[in-house]
Amino acid sequence: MLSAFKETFIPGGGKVVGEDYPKLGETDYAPYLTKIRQSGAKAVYCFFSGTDAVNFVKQFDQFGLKQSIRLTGAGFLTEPDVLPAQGKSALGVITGHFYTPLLDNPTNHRFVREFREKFGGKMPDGFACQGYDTAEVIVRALKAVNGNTQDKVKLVEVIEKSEFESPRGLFRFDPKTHNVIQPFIYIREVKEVAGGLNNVPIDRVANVADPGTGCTLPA
Amino acid sequence: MPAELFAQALNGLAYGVLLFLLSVGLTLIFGMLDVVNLAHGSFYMLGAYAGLAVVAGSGSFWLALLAAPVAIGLIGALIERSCLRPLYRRPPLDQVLLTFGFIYLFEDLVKWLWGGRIRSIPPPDLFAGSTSVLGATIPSYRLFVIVFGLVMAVLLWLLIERTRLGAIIRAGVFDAEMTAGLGIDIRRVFTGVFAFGAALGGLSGVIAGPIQSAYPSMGVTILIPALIVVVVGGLGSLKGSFVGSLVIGQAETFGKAWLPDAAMLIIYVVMAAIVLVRPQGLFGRPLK
Repeated sequence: MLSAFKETFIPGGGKVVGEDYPKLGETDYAPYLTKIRQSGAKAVYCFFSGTDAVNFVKQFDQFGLKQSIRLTGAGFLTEPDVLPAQGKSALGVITGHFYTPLLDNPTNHRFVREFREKFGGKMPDGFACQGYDTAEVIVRALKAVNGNTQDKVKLVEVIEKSEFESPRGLFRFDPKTHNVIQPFIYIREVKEVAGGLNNVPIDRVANVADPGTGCTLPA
Repeated sequence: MPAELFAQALNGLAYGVLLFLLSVGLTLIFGMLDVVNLAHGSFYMLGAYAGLAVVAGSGSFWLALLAAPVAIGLIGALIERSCLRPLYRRPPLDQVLLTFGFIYLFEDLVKWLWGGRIRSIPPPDLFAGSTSVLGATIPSYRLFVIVFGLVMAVLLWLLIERTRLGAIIRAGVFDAEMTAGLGIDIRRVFTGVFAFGAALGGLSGVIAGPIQSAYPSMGVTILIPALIVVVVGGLGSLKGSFVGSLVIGQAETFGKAWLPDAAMLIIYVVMAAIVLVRPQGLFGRPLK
């Protein structure tokens, strides 16, 4: 994850002043946060998810680092599953993700509304969008082959050509790598909006395809 | 450079006193009752959740600090009286299996009551920011934890070394049968020590809450370092628990800061080194 970040950050003129890899399930980031402060870094880019994301963001705030250092990371850092526990500590954190519940398109408006109705007011996150899209792909593919899953080659062809409006935008697969071509990767900032804290899109990059380098399976 | 060292040393101290509060109970229980209480981490976890409940209900962290340990102590007394006492005459493995079972029981109970997601416990407003100590910046709450832990260490030392109750506990750790022979109701002392140990574990959990939040598996995570502290310090020794937890706290912190690749190994290496040189731990009774 972090080498992918460095792949574009360094050629873009960025300078990395320190790197650390805390173990999964780390509860106390104090030693790392002290190192971050002492490194003179102007920003931090990280990858944390779930419990780790909550503890890191909260402790980052408790150490008073938000005043002088910008905290950024992969989208999972501030997803709706961890925002309530992070509270005000998450304000101003910038992340990149293909989805945020605040996306302004008709498919997403309907998705968020129906999701919240069905699940007691819970806010959908990137995982919810992925699950929903996966189900769409399966259902559309099955319809296109009339339920005949014996012809695997045809099934793969049909899935490859999937194209529909997802809450994240136009959903397509890259025919070369079979990775999803993200209609947009959104740069989001955590802000206080109606209904609480959420990831507000502040910028976006269009049509991001994963080059799929490093995959060793036969094409 | 010195400010950098001092800042990390403070981090290590905060972690160390947390471990101390947790391991004191564990070492006393092991020393006196000869029970490896694997559920001790659960008392830590329950303490954090009890703290969460009290703060959510009353808004007062200080009330949580008082009420949660009492609640966990009661749970400990209940467990000792009803489940452990019948097993004292049995081989140690039976007791281990029982306390091991409690780990799962409590984790599921907490998930049932509060859900599996991590829950935040805010520090008291008084300690919400960060302060500077001799040029090193540290969150005010962690400074409070250090001071609180050291004060508790002194109070516990006074209790164990300077009161009659403490003398009874020390006698019980040294030789429970002889203590009973002197007319002390050793069964009640056992229950009391177990409850006291559990309460301290719960207190440690409440204190840790604002730093690492509350989640169901937090007890299992902290159990290993606590067990290592008990081994390093010596079974049944308050002094050992104190020194051991400070050593492990510093080792873990500087390990993460200076030797990140070896960070996960450091505390085990420290434990192995000490046990090789002194098998009974730093302050434990020499093994026969």
